[in-house]
Amino acid sequence: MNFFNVLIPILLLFLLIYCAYKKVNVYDTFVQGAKTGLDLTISIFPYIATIILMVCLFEASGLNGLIIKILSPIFNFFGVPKELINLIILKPFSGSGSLALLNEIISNYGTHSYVTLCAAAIFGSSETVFYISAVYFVKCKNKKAVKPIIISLTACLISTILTCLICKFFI
Amino acid sequence: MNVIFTAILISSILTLIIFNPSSVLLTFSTAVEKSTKLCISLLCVYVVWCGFSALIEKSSLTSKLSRLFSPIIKLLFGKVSLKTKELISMNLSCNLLGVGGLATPYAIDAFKYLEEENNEHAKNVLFVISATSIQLLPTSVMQLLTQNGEPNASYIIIPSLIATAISTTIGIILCKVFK
Repeated sequence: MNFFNVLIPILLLFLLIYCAYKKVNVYDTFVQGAKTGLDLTISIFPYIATIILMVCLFEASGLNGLIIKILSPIFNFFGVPKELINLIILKPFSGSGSLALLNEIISNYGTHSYVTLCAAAIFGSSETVFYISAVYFVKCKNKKAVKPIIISLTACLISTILTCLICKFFI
Repeated sequence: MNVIFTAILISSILTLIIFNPSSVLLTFSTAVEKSTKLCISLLCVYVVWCGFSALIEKSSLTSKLSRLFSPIIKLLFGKVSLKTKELISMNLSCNLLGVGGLATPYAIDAFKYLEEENNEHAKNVLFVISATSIQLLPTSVMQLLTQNGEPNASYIIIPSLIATAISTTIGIILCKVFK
C-alpha cells in the first residue's frame, strides 16, 4: 500500500528529470497537454451526462430491482452468494454506486469473510462497462458498441461464477 | 447503443409514470448534477495527467514503452500502426497501475486511430481489456478494507488477481472466437 502511494510520484519525478535531460520545454509542453485535458473533458461531458441519466432512470424506476429478482435464482444455481447479486448487477452501470455497495457489504459481513472476499474480487475484476462504452467511442464516427459490450458482460459473468468458487480456497 | 439507450429510457420512464410520476423530472436533474460533478473531478485528473502525458510524449518515452509492449500488443491486437501501438501501451500501463481514469484519454485516441485503420477487432480487444480490468493491485478496495479496520487487507490481492486474469482471458478468447 505504502509502496504504491509513492510509486507514481517517483515515476513522475523520473519523468521530469528525464525531460530536463532531454531538454524538453517542460512548462510549454505541460500547458499544451493540460489544454488537451480540458478539451477532452468537454467532449466527453455530453456522453457521460447521457449515460448517467440512463442509469439513474433505470435505478429510480426500480427496474434494476426487478432484474435482480429475475436473475437471483440463476446466480444461486451457480453458487454465487445472494448478497453479491446487487453488486454484480450494478457494477457494469455505476462505479460510485457499486463502491458504496461494496462498503455496505464490508460493514455487514466484516472485513475478513467469504462474502467480502468474493465482493472484493468481483469488484476488481471488471470496470463500469457502460461508462467505457460511452466514453471510448467519443472521437469515433461509428459508435456501435453492442458486440464488445456483450463480450465484456459475458466474460465478467463467467469470471464472477469462477471467482466465487476460487475464493472458497482463500478463506 | 441507440437501441439500448432508447429501450432502457422508454421502459424506465414508463414504469415511473405508473408508480411514481413525480420523480421523473427530479431524476433528470439529479442525474445531470451527478454527471457534472463527475466531469469536474475528471477535469481535475485530466488536466494534470494530460500535462504529464504531453511530457511523456515529447521526451519520446512513449516509443520506448511501446517497444516494451510490442510483443504483447502484436499477440492480442494483431497488426496496428506505430501511433496506435504507443497509445495502447500507455493505456495498458495506466490500467495495470490501477489508474483507469488516466487510461481513458489514451483509449479514446487509440479508438480514433483504429477506426481510421478500419481495425474493428483491435477496437473490441481494447474495449474488452479495459472493461474486464487488468489492475495489478486492487488499491481502492484495499483502502476501503483498511478504513474498515482490516489489519491485513493484502489478503485479497491473490484472489483479485486471479479473478481479473480470468475475466480478461475469457474476454480476449471471446473476442478471438467472434472476430
